[in-house]
Amino acid sequence: MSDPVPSSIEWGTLTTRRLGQLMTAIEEQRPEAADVVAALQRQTWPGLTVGVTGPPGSGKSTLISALVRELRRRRERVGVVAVDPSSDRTGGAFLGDRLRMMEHATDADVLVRSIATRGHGGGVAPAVSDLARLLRAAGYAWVLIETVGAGQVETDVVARADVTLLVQAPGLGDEIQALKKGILEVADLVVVNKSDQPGAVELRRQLETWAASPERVLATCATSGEGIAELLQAIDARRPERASETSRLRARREEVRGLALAILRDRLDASLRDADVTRGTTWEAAERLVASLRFEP
Amino acid sequence: MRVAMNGGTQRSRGRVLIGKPGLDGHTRGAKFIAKALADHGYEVIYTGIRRTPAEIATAAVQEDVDVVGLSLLSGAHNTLFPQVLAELRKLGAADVPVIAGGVIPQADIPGLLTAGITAVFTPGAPIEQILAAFDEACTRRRKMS
Repeated sequence: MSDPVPSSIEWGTLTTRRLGQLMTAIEEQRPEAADVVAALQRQTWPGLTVGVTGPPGSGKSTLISALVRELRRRRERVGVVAVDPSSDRTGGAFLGDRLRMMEHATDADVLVRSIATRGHGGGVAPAVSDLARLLRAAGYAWVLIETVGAGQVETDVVARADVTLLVQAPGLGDEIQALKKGILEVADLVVVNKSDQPGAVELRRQLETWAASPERVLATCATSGEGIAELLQAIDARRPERASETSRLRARREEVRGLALAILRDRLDASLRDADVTRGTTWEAAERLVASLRFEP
Repeated sequence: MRVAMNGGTQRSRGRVLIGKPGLDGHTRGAKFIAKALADHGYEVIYTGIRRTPAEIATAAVQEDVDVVGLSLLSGAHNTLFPQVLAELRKLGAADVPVIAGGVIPQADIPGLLTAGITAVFTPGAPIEQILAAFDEACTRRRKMS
């Protein structure tokens, strides 16, 4: 952390130690990371970023671990960014995704980083896009992003990833739960995980109906590895060879929107601490609060 | 405009890794400490049981934690704790403080401290003392960097 960031960075030669420290600097928006982020955003790095979202308990971490295993069989280098929620009350977080990925713990070609949302909604933390860029720049051609798994509004990840998977599993509530989530429409692939469990066949059939095109729905059993190679093939097939100008602009707009929301949220939280919330209705107090926000250049 | 992403109400105290080297499966202590640290405002990464010193050190470096906490009840502390320190050194992370806890005879503690362990806690240690040790280690390291 003490050594300054070199002006021209030899991305491929960064040690794990240095990468880890850079990720912290990016995540905390330290001044010394500004040049790194600018350099990372100047170009598109080779590789593919895959977003993995889905409700808690659907097996996202285990599925990612199985994907890593398959990718390592193909000699690919893999980076994983696993996001878990921060506590609103204490700012602390229990980052437990890594526990399911420990079989790759000493593989030098697999880098796992756990990050906390630090108060930002949408299932991913604001810095996730830059962390994925850094990993790809450093030669981890496959980057897998695991979202919080809070459930319903995790469409943020779609903007951050080239390909997005929605993971579902039988036994997590009825199919109405799956229907509620706006993500079903925007996910590229829908994965019915825990395919060995009762109800998996029915769930798959139902999702096939709702997902508009049945070939978007795949079944996996992450613990046995069944369906993983097929899933990887399907991801590969959806690789955006050359993203159109429109879709690139849309992704950029989404990323900027997420970052702007993060800024707004910080300002709002700061103003809320001193705001008079007792006068009038809660609606009126909210409007006063918004009107009181000041933005210096 | 500089944004304090980590500011406002969401400041975490730092990042901590809780690891269990060795062959015992007694996770209650490690999980209790992990939970207490998260409630205290740390981002806590938990590795699970039976991790090798290399696995723990690699995870600590990838996660760029401020402090590593080790829990061990198998009796292999005199071997495994120094090995974690050695693995951290190998990865260029000798500056990451390591705090240890578990069933550790008083007689072994001076040797572990000499080897480079920052603090050692045994059963019955008040949680406030343990949290204070993490706070101190974290603050000291953040000041250095």
